[in-house]
Amino acid sequence: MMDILGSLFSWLPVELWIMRPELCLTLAAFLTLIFSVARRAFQPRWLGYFSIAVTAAVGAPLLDLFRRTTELPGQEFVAWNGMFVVDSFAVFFKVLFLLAAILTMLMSIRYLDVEKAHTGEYYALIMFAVVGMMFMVSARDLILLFVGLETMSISTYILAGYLKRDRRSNESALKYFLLGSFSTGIFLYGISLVYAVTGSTHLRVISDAIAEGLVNHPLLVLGLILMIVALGFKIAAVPFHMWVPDTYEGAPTTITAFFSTAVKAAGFAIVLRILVEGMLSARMHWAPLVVILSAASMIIGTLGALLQENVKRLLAYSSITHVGYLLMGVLAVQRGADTGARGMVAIAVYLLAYTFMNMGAFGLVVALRREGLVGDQVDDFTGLARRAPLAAFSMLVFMLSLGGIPATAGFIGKWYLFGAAIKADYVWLAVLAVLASATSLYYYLRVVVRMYMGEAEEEGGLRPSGALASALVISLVFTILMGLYPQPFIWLAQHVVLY
Amino acid sequence: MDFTLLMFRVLASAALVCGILVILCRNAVHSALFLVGVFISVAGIYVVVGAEFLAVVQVLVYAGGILVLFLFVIMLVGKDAMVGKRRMRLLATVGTILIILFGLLMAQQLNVAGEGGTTGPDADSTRLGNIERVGLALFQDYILPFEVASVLLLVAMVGAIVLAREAY
Amino acid sequence: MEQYLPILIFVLVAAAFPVVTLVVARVIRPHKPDPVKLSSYECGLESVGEVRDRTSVRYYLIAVLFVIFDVEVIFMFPWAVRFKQLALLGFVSMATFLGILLLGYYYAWRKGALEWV
Repeated sequence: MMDILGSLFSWLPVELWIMRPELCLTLAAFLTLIFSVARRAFQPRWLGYFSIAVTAAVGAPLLDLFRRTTELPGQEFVAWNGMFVVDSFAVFFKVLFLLAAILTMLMSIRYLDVEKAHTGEYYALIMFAVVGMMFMVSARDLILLFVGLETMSISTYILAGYLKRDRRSNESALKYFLLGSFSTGIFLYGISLVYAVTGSTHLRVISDAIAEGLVNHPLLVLGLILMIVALGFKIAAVPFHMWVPDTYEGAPTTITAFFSTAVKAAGFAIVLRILVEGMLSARMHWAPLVVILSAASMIIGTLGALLQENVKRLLAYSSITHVGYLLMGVLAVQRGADTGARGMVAIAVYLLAYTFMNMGAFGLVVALRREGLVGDQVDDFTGLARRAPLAAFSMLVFMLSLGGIPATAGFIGKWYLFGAAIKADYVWLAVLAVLASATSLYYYLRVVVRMYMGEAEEEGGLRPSGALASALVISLVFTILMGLYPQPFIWLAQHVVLY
Repeated sequence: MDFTLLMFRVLASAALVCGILVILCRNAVHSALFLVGVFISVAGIYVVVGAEFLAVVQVLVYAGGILVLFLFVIMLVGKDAMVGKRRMRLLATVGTILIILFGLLMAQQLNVAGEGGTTGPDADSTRLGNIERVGLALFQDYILPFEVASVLLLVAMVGAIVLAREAY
Repeated sequence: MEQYLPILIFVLVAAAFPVVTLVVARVIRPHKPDPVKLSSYECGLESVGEVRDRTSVRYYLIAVLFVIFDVEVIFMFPWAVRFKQLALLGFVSMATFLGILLLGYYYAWRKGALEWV
């Protein structure tokens, strides 16, 4: 079957052949856009199903590329003047994006009806965002990386403000847009300084130029700092996190879930691509900054989440804490040591786990949403165990997993990340991370306690749509499976190494 | 001091002064007009350093299109939002000070840096005009980013329509 | 650089012209203001309401569309000057670029973004 599909595209020149996933998804997004305004307009619901089907189908060429890139370690396909690279690193992240996009779209179908904002463009924009991410992670040239980043960012700005009649959504989109475009400007400034010093935007050339003695060039260091600041905005690390709570609270819940998983994963992918593939020789300049970002994110994120009464805000702060953990994985990457691979693998494992558990947690907030109830307050979860035991149980699992309790996906992720940090001699940071995750249990369990101890004000269970229910089941099953039987996931993540 | 350097200094100072006035003006329309000054000065700098194509883009897109957009936005938000409040002024002053500090830092770093780095390749500059070279770079070396940019523009267009049309 | 000297002179003259005219007019003309003269001219009618009224968001939409197509046209400029050398590849990539934006145009049209009412 795979071979037939493979030969279907064999006439393509290699430049296009290696970007089959991107091409297919772009075409699907175009079609969705056209269908949404066609003379015989399709119902948005059907466009949703169409988008989900296509996004899932794009998995096929992606898996084919995964098979090919993992045949030999370091196997990669390069085209477009060395700009576009397909290695196992890129393919892994692309699979992650598709997964997050599918779960998001599954959760959206009923939700958008309730919000009375159901149009086909929504799905097209999600697919465009994924296309942007795919180009980002495959870019070995800062120009292509930047264009991909912008495609993703602009799509997500629009999605954040998709509920036009909701003031919180407007606020969310505006804050996200202003700070996002500001950070884009800073990023571009950083690129231009690096270009001024090294004479290239290609990461390999930059890497060589740095290794040949430009390491301490002041403009290079300044450019590097500016790029880290901008990336800090994109992945929402402290002190560049101010927009996160408001944006996460106001955006449509499904889109918040998308932000906290796919967009964040894309951010980390380019952090690794730039810092490891382009700037590893300048590690002594970026490592101290990343240490500060990591420690500050863990502390501020944990403290901020303690008193939140809004689940979306709570998860926003918790996502900041998780960024702190993930940055430890970046720090573990060092030259000439196997800890480098360990750091990247840990990040991959963690992002995989985080995608499932965070999607699930936001999915529950979506499930609570109905006419007349936003469902994003911690109080809305009160007594859920009696009304809808299954939903309450899955929320319990997601919360425990986010807290890092053994036998859940979150534990495996933390185990790898903290281990990588210790191996890389950042013991104090790992200790801080353990303290932060112990504290974080308090606010995750607060939701659980309300669900199981509280008295529900209303009767009747939740009635999630079939699509939403399947998204929740997928998240739940994988969260538990990854906790109990992590080997296949770890095998998958082991390919996420930049050479 | 040769002519190029002189022109650069004049235009750069003009851009800086206009830029500071953009932030300090209390009336948003005045800010927008000073922004034109910034754009034009920067376009002049592009000409001075031999990037004519960028200068044309700067004038056409920024001084032409983007500024119209700015003015529409200013008119969109109405009269109340047009005059800045005291607090904004304080923030603007702090911002200006920070920017000046950053500029001084950059200047000092540039002096330290001196020759160390290499600037962009400039071998062809005598044989081909700037616009020709941009064309070759764009359509030979940078085709892929160029095509992705069209998707980017499409997304921007869809976004504007989705957010600005009244009805769903 | 030197070939831009005429342009520089041209710009300076162009800038000087309105300034000089206005200053000279100010010096020569009589200055006797009264309320009627100072009121804004509205085709002879009494002026109503504020000058700075809020405009419709549609202007903004049109302006955004203008900027996007403006950028598109800009890209055609360097392509056109090297058309022959870029050959088929250049043509295909430009056609793709335009095709994608044409799709946006179709979308805008169908969505009614180009209609005023």
